[in-house]
Amino acid sequence: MIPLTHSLFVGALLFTLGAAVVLLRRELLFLLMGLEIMFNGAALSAVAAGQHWQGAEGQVLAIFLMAITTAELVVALILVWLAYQRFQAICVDDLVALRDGRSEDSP
Amino acid sequence: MSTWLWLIPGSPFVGALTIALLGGRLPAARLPWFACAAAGISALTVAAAWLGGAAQEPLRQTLYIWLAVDGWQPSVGFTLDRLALVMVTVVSGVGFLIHVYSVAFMDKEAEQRRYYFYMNLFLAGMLVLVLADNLLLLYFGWEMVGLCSFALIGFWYRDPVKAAAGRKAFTVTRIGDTALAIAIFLLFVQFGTLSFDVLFPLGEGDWEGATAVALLILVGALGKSAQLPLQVWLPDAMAGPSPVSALIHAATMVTAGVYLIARTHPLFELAPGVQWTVAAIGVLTIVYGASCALAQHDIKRVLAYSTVSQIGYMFLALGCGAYALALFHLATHACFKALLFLSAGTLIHSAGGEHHIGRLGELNAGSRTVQLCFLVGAASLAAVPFFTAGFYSKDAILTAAWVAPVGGLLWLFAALGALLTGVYIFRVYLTVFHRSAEPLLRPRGRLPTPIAVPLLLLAALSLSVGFLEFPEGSGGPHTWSTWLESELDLAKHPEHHTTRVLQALSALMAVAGIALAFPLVRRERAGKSLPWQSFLQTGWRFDALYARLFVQPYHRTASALARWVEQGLIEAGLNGLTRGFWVMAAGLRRGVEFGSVERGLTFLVVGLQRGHAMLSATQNGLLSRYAVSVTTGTLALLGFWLFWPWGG
Amino acid sequence: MPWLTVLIFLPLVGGAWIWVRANGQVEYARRGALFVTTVELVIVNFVWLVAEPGGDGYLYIERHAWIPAVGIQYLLAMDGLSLVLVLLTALLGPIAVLVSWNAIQHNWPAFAFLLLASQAGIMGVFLSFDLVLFYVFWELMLVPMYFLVGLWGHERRLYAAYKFFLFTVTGSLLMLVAILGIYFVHGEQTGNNTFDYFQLLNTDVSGTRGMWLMLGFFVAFAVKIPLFPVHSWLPDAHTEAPTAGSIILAGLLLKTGAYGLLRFCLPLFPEASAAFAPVGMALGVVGILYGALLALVQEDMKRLIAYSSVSHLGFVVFGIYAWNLHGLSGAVILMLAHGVTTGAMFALVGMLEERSKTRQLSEFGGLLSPMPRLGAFLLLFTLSSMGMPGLANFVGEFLVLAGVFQHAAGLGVAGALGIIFGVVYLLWMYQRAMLGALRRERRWVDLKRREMVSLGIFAAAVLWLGLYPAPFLDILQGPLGVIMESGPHLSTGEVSGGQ
Repeated sequence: MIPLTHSLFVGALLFTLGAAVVLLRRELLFLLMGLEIMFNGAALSAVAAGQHWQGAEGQVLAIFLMAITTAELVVALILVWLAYQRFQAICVDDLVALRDGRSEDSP
Repeated sequence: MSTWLWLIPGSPFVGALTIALLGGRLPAARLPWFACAAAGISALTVAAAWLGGAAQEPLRQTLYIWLAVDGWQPSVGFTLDRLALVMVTVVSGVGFLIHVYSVAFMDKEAEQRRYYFYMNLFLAGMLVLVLADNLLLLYFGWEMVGLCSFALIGFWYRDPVKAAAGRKAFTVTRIGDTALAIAIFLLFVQFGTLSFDVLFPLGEGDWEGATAVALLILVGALGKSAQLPLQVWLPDAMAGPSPVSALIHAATMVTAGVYLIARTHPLFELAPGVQWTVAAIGVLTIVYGASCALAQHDIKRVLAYSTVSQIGYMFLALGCGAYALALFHLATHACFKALLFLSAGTLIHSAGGEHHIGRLGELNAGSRTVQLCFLVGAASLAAVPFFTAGFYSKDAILTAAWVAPVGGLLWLFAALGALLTGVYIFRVYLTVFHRSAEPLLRPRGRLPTPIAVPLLLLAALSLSVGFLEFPEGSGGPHTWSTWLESELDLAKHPEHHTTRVLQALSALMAVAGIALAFPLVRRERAGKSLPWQSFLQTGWRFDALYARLFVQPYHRTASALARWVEQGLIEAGLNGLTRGFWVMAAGLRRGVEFGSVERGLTFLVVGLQRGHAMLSATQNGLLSRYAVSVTTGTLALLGFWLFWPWGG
Repeated sequence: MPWLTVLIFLPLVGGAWIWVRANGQVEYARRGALFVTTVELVIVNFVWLVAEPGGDGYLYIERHAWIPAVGIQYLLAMDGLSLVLVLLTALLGPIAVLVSWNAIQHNWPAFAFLLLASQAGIMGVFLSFDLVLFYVFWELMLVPMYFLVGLWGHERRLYAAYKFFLFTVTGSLLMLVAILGIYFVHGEQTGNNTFDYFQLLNTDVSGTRGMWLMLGFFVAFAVKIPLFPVHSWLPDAHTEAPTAGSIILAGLLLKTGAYGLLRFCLPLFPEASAAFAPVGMALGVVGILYGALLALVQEDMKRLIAYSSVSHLGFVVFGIYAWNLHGLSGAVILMLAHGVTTGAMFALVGMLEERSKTRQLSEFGGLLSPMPRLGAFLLLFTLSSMGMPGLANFVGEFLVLAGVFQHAAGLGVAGALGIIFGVVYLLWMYQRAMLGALRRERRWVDLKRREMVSLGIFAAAVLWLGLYPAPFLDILQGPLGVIMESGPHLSTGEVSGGQ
């Protein structure tokens, strides 16, 4: 039996690592990977909590999370691919169309 | 018999309704006869009532409750007592004859439907008036005949003068009507009922309001009966067709005032001053009417003024307490005046609408029958002694006047009137029928039957009705006054000798008047006119006086109100108010809107622009920067909840 | 069935339905409006026939909570007084549609909706017994009327609509203040905050406070009636409104003012009203004479009739403040009579205007020859208007004067002068329009069947009211008796001091 704190610690670690990747890297694919890791951290916490309270909800939540991430990933990958195709962009800093007042010099 | 009482006013009423609603479907030729039938049924019912015992016991019938408020329930109900019986007989009889006469007289007219509608409606209204068992219903009939009079005077409404005459008649009589209405209200407030049966026993007590009420009723009667000072409408009312003048403005409607006073006489007995005023107005009107009749050239206007004057006799009788005699004169006058009007109408008709007596004489349009009828009527009007009805009725009034307070004076005026009556009516007769020049128009052949029969019947009545009541002190029967005694007290007469002298004098007056007419006519033919001709011809200039005194000030008040109060005060006030609002709004716009609001808004806008410039820098489109801020924010919130001492 | 709710909302819903569905089809809108108003009339008659008075004299009561927190209810009730006025409202509905048939040139569906909506508002005013609900309907009837005048009126319609709106809104704001005033007074006295009319009846409002509150109501009603000197909106609004608008204005809107006096001013503030009665009667007399005099100098026929309304409504106020059974009954009967008579007169002028495009008396004259039917109808209603016995107005005027004479003979005589004044201007009008020689050669067409029907209904009503008013007087005795008892009886001396 793994104590709750351990699994939560691992979950938090995963989440933090993912967040660090999202914040620090600039490549689009890395960002996606960072996001997945954050999801995994969250799912792990859910499973652990479910085990702690002897309930199935945690595992149900984890399964849903996996399904949702899959779906999300599909859309996101298409978007990344499109971004590459349209703007030749693999780096997130190349996509600045939302910048205020400078829409004319979009990449 | 009581159950059929409603038929007396009901049959002409139904007739009028049918003519109004379905008249378009009836063949035009049948319409007059239909109207006659309606009037005839009414007359037949009256005859049946005579036979059915109405002469002994009053008949009563209540149809329904008209209004019911607070225990007071004036009904639509009829009472046929002796007083009403006299009136009903005169109205329905003369009414029927004149309907028949109209069939031939109005033959060529275009809008007969309107004519017969109003004629039938008039009969219904007049019969309701005299049969009503309460004052409210009487007022109903009173107004209805006023309406029909208005509509029939203005029958030829395309002529604005005739239309205006109708309006004048309605307006002037309405003044009297309003006085009557006020009297009704006062009676109602005092006694809580308007039924004659209940009212008049009560009225015999001591009541100080009696004077006011009697005076108001008198004003009402003056208006309807065209007595001084409300007589101005009647001469103009001659604008209507002749049968209308005969029926409404001679025989029936104008005598409604006499009926009203006779009906309410207990009230007048409580107010002797008012009763004497009735007599005084009567004699003044006698002289007024007779003097004006002297100077008229329009044959119908002569007859109109004569009607005014003759009703004066009835008022004199009422004022002296000789109610039965007033009614007697009413009945005889209805016969001979209707006769005069109808023969005058025939005359005018055959002369192609000529009214001027001089020219009528030149045209010599009357046939023998017409001349005879007019002569009978004129003799009866002038009270030729012994064989005319007018003599018996007028003579009795003259003697009765002697015993009233200041009776000598009253008698003097009345006798003067009798003299003038002979003069003016025979002036007309002589001018029209005894013209020396060659006749221009050949008298037509036979008169049409519907014209001849009423004329001859009325002529016969004008000669014979008088024998019902022989002069006081003579041996003949006194059927009339003894029969009416139970409802209307007997008249007082002076002692035997005086009576005889007075009778002789008044007979003399009549004859003298006729004798005076000859030199007058001769004078006129010579081209000389009467002294004061225009003053008399315009009816003592009453019209001009009233126009000055009432009509113009009234119009001026109305215009002044419209200009000064409505426009000057109210509208201008409103405009001022609106203008004030404008000024205030403009001031506010300058002061508040430009001063504070506008400036505040500018300030706000500039501030917002600056803030926008600053915030705009943060929106740089770099995803990772956004991510950093989201994470930082989340962490900060998390830290706040978890570690802030008083958070979470 | 909640008949009262049906009565109010049937025209509203029907009107909205027509507006939405008609899609610009004139025929659909006309027939639909006629259908709805006729159904409404049938329902009212049915309600009248089956009505059985409850113990308290009310024929129907509907009570639902609306905003309980502040004591506002959806409270409808009908007694005899409401019933006769509802009858009048329902009767004028189909006629207003009929006279507009060809007169309204554009946007019939919207016109139908507004007409029906104002009818619904008026129904609501006559039926609601919660003061807030009453106020809501009171304002509700204004808005459609504003648009009716403003959109379909004649030349100066915007001015007239504006004036009408400003006058009435000013009045009703004062009434709102007074409603709140009596609400708080009642709450203070009983601890029970409610706008329920039946409970407010028991409020003891006396002294200066009562007088001020009463005046708040009175001003709102006086504007609506309208009394001299706040009548100024009426001639403009009547003149500029389309025919149906004039009929609704004269026939119904003015009645809501008099109804308000009877329903609220007198029973809620008996003492203040009793003290005010001499002033009220004096205002009535001034209105009678002033309206009659001004009517004489009008050239525009509609304006003339508008001033005659001022005169007649003066009689109504006169009777109300006489405050006895005769005066009150007379006032209500006169309200009905005036609604019918003046409505008919406006309809007639509308028909003349349709034919000649003018309302100026100087343009008419001699019209009896080409249009005998129209002339006959005009004479009938003119006679009724001047108080000919046997026709509608007489019964009302007579009872009013009979009531007034019991208190103040002097004022009564002044009021009776109104009868003479009336004959002067009405006959003058009739003569100028109908008699004399034909002044303008036009192709005058006499009344058509549709017009005959609408005028025939009016004529029947005028004759019924004039010859056999007993059914109406009977159902009025109960409610008017209640109003009588609510007040301290005026002693004769007290009021005759106001002569």
